[in-house]
Amino acid sequence: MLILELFLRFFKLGFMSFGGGYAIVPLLYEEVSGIWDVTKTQFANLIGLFELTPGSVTVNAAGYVGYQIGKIPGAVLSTIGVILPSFILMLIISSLLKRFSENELTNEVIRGVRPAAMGIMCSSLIFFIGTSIMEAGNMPKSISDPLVISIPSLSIAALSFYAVHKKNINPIWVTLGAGALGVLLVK
Amino acid sequence: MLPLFKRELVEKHHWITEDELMDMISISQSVPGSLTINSAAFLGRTMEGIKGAVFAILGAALAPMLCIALVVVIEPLIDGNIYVDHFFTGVRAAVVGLILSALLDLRSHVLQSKADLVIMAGSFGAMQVFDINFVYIIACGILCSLFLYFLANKNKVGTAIILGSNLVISAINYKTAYVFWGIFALSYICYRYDRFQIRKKIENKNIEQEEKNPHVALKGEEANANT
Repeated sequence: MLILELFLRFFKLGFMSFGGGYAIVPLLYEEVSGIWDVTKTQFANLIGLFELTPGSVTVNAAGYVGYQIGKIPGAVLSTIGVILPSFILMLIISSLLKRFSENELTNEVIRGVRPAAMGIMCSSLIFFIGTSIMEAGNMPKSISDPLVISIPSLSIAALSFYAVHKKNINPIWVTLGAGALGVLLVK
Repeated sequence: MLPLFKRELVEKHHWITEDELMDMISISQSVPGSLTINSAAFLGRTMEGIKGAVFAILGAALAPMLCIALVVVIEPLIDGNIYVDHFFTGVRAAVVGLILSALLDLRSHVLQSKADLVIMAGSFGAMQVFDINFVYIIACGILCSLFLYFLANKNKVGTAIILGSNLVISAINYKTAYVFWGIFALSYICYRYDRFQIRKKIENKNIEQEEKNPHVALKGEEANANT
């Protein structure tokens, strides 16, 4: 029955995965940590790994988490769960193509979804800052907690931002380079 | 992705025209799910019907699944290695940079009005402070956008339906009530403020035109003189 729950959770995620890979991270963690024992740092490592493998973060995460919980049937079922919403929605929409792109209401729905997805994306930024730049592996819970910042992580983050945003280097190379820098810098 | 799609689908295989490709991309981006999977479903459906969609989507999902199979096999061999740990510390830091870059890229074409900014900040706060389920957050964004649309079009029935469904959601999960009504109220204020600004601009323009063009002001007097 765990496999069935896995399927349902990823099915739900499939409907919510707006805005590409990053917006989904906090949602994924919320859903996955309910059925699989994983720390935030481990999970952030996985997302970083899925950045390097082909395919979207959501599909990869479904395959990986599904395998960890239910071996091969789990992996297959949760992957199907996560792509089924895309399949259903695309089938409906491609058959009413003209009406979809000209309908003001659907455009308005999309207009509302995007800022909300961007807000969730800000949360995933916080998620990754908490698991990398903050030394303790977590964001400080209250103001009185000390703010310990890992200098190597901060400089790698700044450098990769510069490389992607200003120099337009392919994210895969940036991620690999950052990993190599991690081996060199982090003690 | 776009150059790759264009080369493979349009130029090499001639499966679709360039216009259809643009349609495909814009629809795939506005439906939840990844661009590849959505495009595969769309392409399969337009070329071969439902059977085509099923096979295209299976093909698009198979490659990532094989890669994950490889990851699952290799992972136990390198687990716990200190260099691997450090490698991933670097990767995690890189993702911070990547997300920041993606956010800045999105900013210009997603945040078109102050109300959009309110929805974004509200969703972020709802996620971080109130710890609200993301289904509600997305629903709130959609409802708020529709609310403003109905307001702008003076559609009273639509506005009432949106506010009513908002009430129902607040009743189902009282924790979301703060966030929903907060975002609604703030974006309503933004909407009113924007309208006020626009009206002021139009009035200023009219005054300027009258000043520039004295005939408009004189017309009345001329009419009086003629009679």
